[in-house]
Amino acid sequence: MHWISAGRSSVAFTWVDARYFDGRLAQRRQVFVSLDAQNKRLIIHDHSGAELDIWPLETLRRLHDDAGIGLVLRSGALDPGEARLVLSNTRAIAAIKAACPNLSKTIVAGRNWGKIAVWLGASATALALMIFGIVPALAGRLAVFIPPEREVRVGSAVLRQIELILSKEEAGVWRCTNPKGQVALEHMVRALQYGQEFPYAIQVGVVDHKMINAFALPGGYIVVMRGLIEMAETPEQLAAVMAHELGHVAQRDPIVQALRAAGTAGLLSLVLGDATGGTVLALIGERLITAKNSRDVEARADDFALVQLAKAGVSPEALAEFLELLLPEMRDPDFDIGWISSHPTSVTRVAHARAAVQTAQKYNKSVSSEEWQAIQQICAK
Amino acid sequence: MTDTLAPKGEGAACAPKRLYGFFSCDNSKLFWLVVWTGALTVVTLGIYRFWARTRLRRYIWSSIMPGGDSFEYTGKGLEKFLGFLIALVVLAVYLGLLQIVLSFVGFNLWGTISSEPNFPKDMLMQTAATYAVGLAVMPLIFFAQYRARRYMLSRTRWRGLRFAMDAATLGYVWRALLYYGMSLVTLGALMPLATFRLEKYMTDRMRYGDAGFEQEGQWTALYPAMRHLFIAAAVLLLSGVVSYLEQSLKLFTITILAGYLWLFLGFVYYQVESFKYLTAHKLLDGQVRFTSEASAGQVLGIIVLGLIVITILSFIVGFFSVLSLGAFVAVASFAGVGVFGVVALGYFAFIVLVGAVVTVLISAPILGHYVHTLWVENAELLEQIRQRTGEHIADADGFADALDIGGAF
Repeated sequence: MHWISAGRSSVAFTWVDARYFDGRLAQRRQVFVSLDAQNKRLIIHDHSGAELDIWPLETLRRLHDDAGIGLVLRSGALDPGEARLVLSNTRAIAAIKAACPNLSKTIVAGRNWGKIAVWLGASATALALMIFGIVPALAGRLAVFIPPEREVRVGSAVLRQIELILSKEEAGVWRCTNPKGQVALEHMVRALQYGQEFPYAIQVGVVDHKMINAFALPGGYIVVMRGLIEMAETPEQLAAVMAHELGHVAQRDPIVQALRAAGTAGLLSLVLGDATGGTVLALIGERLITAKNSRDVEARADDFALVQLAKAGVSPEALAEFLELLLPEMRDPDFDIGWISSHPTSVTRVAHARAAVQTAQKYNKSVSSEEWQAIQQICAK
Repeated sequence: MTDTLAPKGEGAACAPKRLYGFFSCDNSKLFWLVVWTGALTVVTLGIYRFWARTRLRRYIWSSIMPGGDSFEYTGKGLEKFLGFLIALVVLAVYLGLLQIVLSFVGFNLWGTISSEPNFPKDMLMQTAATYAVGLAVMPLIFFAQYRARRYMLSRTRWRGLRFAMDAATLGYVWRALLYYGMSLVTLGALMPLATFRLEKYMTDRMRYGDAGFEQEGQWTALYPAMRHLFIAAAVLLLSGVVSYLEQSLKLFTITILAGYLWLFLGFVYYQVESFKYLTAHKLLDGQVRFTSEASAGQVLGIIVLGLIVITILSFIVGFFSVLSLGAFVAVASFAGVGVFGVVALGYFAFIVLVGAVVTVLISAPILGHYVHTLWVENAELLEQIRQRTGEHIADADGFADALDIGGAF
């Protein structure tokens, strides 16, 4: 083999040993290659010295991520050729790396971008249809098949999880257990269940947290936060919120939401791939998607609440009042994650509640003033 | 490219009759490749995984060198990404339609079941529904398996020539359903039938250049490979009976544990022994034969050693991360950085690292063992095999990716 200096700094070589696969036969051939720097080409000779192939330098491409110690070359910019050349001579490899400008370049054909756009759109549409159309519809259908006793177990598991999160955020006792307050609250909620059959016993609990929030969990658990009780000006307003949450329980909305979350998480992990614990990401995404209940679900819970309030002899006006109380708070960033964001209050909801008030009827108090005091003191130590 | 015809016989004259498999893989390079591509996958929320898998395969393929000439993987990350998008549309629509049909059936046939379900009847319904969904997904899984293998072969070259597998996915799907169904019903007693017939179905449709593979042999010949599985089953059965008679929980725990360990061993043994038998009875182009001297003991050794090292490493990493996390959380909460973000980042880093260690300590060494113990007989006849034209496979291995199936590489 010979080394020649061709012109300024470009080094050329001749008669370097290499292995060549012509891409037509499964045959390894010992060849000699020469780098012709002047004419910018690589010449491949067979063992007798005859020219076998000539590759222009700008069309040379290397194979990436190769485990071998040598350099594997192919020729062809857009349409890769079939032949392969395997070089192991380190000086020859260095010379080729210096002389070939496009050794590592890859080109994405223009038509591929169009394909990507089309399929991205199609898959996004299909997924959106599933997540916002089919999964929610299906969750509602399947929820019916879950036995109540199982649902209660799911609910208590979720409750423990929430307890864990909240106790981290605000150290100390998280559950308010003042016995008088608890009795009064249960009295209030029992009155609201009049004439309704629930598949499980309703359990109400108050959490010592400043957030203005109340929510229903699977299995008949209703959780109220201290902030919401403090916000309510009358016991009837609290009763209105409780009646609304009872509406969610009656429609089995929490378990539907849970099923929906599971279905969506499954679909999202389909997208993200599970290779690197993608399910966790999927769960985070899921929380963003179902942060809000649909308007329909809320409207039905409102309807239930209005009926039950009337049955309990409490004026439906209370719901309107409480919703109005929340209206000015809606812009406050502090209340971003409370009852307001999950139950977006609106003028229509207020009007709907007010329409249910019958002027001819005489309404009572939800609970006595002593009981209301006890409820307000439920978190007192 | 000039149009010179390869002079016949030039290579064939000195071509060796026997080719040995070589596996040359730089562990540290492999490790950092997996770590780097894994990190990119996390950063891109999973999108990079198609390119990550492509790069890993390129590296692994080029490490396999029968007769000193390495395999080449020509798959592209972009085509995998496109294939995945296609699969996603099909899967979302298929699963959606399937669920609509199922709920429709449920609504019509069991319309009587309302919001007050009765316990045993309802449980039965629920179980039936779960199995219905599972059964409906099974064809998809076999479909994805065959497509993925076909795509992988079509993107594999050796000495410049392509491999391929015929487009015969549906035939595979119903056979797989039938044979796996039969071995499930017979509690695994017909597993050799499933293994053999499905391998034969695929091998008979496999091509290298213009030459075809053939699978010879008998499915019943795989029964000796099941030896340890039968022993494990006997141990488990005996442990149940004896513990019941003796009323001893301690005896039960010990024997059950032994039975399960033996079952695991039995699976590895079956894998290796059936591979050896099937390899010995494969034929390429009518005359080229293969021999594998893989050893179940060595494969088991690699797995056990790998697991021990990974356990120790996880323990050390876990210990130090708990130590440093305390300090970090203090700093982070002071700086206003979310603790959740720190924990999530650590979690992903840990997953990526474990994946890399598994690849380097278990997956790659096992593949290496299979390659090292394999040789090709009558290899001089390979030199007559000619190239075949490439094919476009639009969905690539997108279905396998979406359904999360597929092996180590």
